[in-house]
Amino acid sequence: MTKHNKDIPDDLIGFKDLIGEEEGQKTKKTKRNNEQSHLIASFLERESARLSKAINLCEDKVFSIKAYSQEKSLLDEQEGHNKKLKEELVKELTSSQSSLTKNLNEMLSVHFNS
Amino acid sequence: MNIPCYKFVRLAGATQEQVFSVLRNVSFKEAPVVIQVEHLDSDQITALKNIELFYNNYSLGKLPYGLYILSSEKKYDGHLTVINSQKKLPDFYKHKNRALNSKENLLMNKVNLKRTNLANIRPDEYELTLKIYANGQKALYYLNSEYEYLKKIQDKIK
Repeated sequence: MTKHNKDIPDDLIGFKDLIGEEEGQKTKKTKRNNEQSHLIASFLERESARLSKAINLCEDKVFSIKAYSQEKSLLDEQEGHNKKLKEELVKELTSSQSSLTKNLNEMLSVHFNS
Repeated sequence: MNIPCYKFVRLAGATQEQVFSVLRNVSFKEAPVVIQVEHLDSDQITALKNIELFYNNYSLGKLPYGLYILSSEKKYDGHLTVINSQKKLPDFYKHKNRALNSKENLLMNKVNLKRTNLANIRPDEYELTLKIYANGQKALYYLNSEYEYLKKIQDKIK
């Protein structure tokens, strides 16, 4: 029995490498196919999610933007804030105690001896 | 069934007739399309203008898939996406087309359904609204930047 078992590998001399290589190639191919399949499946899932988002944007969001537009009130509010801040700035800069007025007065008095 | 990967279209000439006759047979709703015009040398600008005309006439829009032009022309300043190398194309759609297995087919059917749904929405129904919305957001951004600038000045003079 033992002798028989020892004989089997001897019979395969010359074919061993070939069998080994083929098996290796098969495993490599299957591995590559699995990887490719996984890549395409995940790509299709992401593509599906992208299209869902695009549909949501073009249907629901566009509808709500049209129906409940906020941009005019937001722009008016921001413009109001800017106008108020500008007025405050001008007030602060033109007051007699402001550093701008002081510096200007100093500069003018130096140059015109007033 | 083909997965949505880049479809390359090579133009035979730059005249309006030649461009329109090629592009009329291309389906822009199934995959991102890359139009190659770099081989047209000095006629590239004419080809680009005619592609733009086709794009506007058939109101192609940017959804579901974009349109890319492969050209070496640097003087073009229109609204089409012009690139000078295939490497600059988004990697997302760089896939090789092959037969799909059952799981992938199932996913592809889903993609197809959504693609058809999106293709049925007319671009002129949403493009104008989105454009107005985008311009409003831009204006708001500039006003807010101005506010931040004025606030900085106010803090400095205090």
